[in-house]
Amino acid sequence: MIRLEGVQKVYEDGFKALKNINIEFKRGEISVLIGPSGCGKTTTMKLLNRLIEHTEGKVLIDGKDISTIDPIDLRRSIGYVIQHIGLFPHMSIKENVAAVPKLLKWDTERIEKRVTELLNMVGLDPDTYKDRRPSELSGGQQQRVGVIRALAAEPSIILMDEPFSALDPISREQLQDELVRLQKEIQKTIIFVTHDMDEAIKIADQIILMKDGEVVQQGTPVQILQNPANEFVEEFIGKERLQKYRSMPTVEEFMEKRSAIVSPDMPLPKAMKQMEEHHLDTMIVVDGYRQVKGQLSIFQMFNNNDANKLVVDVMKPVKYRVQTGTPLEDALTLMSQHDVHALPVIDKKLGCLGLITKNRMIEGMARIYSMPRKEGA
Amino acid sequence: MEFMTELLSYMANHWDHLLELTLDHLLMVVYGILMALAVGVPLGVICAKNERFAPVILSTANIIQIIPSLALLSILMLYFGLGFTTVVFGLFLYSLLPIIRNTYVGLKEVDPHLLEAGKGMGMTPLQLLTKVQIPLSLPFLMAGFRVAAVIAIGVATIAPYIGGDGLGREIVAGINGRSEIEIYAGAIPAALLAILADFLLGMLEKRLKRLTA
Ligand SMILES: Nc1ncnc2c1ncn2[C@@H]1O[C@H](COP(=O)(O)OP(=O)(O)O)[C@@H](O)[C@H]1O
Ligand SMILES: [Mg+2]
Repeated sequence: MIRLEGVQKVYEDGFKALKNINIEFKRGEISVLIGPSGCGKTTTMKLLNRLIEHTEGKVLIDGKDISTIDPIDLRRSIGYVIQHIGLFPHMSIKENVAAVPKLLKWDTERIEKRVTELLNMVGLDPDTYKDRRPSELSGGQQQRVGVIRALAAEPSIILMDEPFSALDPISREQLQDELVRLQKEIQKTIIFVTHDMDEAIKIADQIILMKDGEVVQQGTPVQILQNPANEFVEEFIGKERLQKYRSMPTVEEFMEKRSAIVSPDMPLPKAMKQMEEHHLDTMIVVDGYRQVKGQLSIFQMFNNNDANKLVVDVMKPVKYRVQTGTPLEDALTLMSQHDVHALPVIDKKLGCLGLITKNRMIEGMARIYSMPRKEGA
Repeated sequence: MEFMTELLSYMANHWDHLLELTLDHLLMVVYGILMALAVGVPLGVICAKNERFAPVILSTANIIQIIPSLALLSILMLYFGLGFTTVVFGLFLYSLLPIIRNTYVGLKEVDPHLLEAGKGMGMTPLQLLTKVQIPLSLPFLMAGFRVAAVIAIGVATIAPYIGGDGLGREIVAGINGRSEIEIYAGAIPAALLAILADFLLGMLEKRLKRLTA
């Protein structure tokens, strides 16, 4: 965990870039620093690896004041990804990824293994790419390398300063998705700077909104969207986005909870009975750790009407899912785009909470929109 | 036409002597430039790392460069006497400016984002210099080396006036004996040497540029 206590930064020219910052970045979470240009996001981030030294207050990593740690050692233990990618053009992809392990004097075998593992992790075939130069890769591929270079020496903290903002919109979305996926595996403490609210909503566990060197609001994306602290926050989020998140019910409101959840080792007849009782056509298969294992539709049940089989034998994989707090509208769009009629609802911390089905959503929306309106002029 | 055949037959008859002069010539240039590299690159690094020193170092090298070559060599002769060492020292002084300046500019030209990436990942200033800045400024350094080589090959032709050897010996002999053929027999190889050095080092520079782009 990282804690900033009463941190201030006054630059050499006397400009006060940070005024009394008190924040916590939780272990294993993606914390997004967001705010208008010049509000102090980069300054805040660079305090953490001492590229910038604060002038007042304390920065603590796992309780240790970082001003007592040698900056070179500190930086080698923290991953760093910059907006301009910053791959070394005279080094191969392998040499770039291996940069920090080399500084740490890992042996060549260990480095080789790590590079291969990392390239595979972001879908770059090691044999094809490891000896190429950065200039021979697309922008999106280069920044994938930028990200794994930061991960190479297995730091527990990663700093990312607008890492995807220089990419084209398609690559940007892909890398955001990949980061969210990757984070499930690697569970790092990630500090991510952006000025793009959609990006923040998509990837953040926690959003820290800044303005003029101060923290204006801090919370989960849903918390901030549903309760913006003041006019500035509302404006920053944008009327349109706010409208959407405020007025539209979210997926939780129409979610089937326990009734739609079965465990993988449940016998089929029992699952069928549960389905009938609750008038469902789809159920979600969730294990003891609340991880989604698959789904079960009424058709699969009919086709496999075998009393000896278990749920796990007939279930189908789940391709799409939605996060808690997703507006109904977005879930419906997703459903029609991919022609599915049920989606598991996932909470970033708690795992799978339930299932929304198209039928229930349409019923629910009909109820909302057919509510008697006040007669008026 | 007649002159050309005469020149060619002169060069053919004296090829071993001319070759020896060419090698002497090259040797002086190589020594001079190697010394300039050994001194100039560190000075360039100091300029880049410490902006305070840059104006002093660069203008000193500039002043040396401005002194006419014959004058500079003559002054050196007063202190070092006649001979090989004096010539090499003169060539060294002449090569300094392009090498210092290009080292300095090359280091300054390195993309600041790469420096930030290197520093942010925990490179020490020395590692940053040797792993990032110097490799990336090699094309500039090579350009300085090329300019220095071409200048030194030219300046080295006046070596005989201060007791040196090289192709200048043939030229001076030609001047003294009013022999046009001897002058050309010395001047043509010297010119070819300069062109060749320019070409080869230019190719090397291009290759380095590709490796660092
Ligand atoms: N080295 C510096 N000297 C003086 N002022 C600076 C320096 N670096 C940044 N600033 C100022 O501090 C403020 C915050 O900068 P920064 O943290 O880079 O903002 P952000 O990343 O949010 O766009 C800006 O107003 C910027 O002009
Ligand atoms: Mg910034």
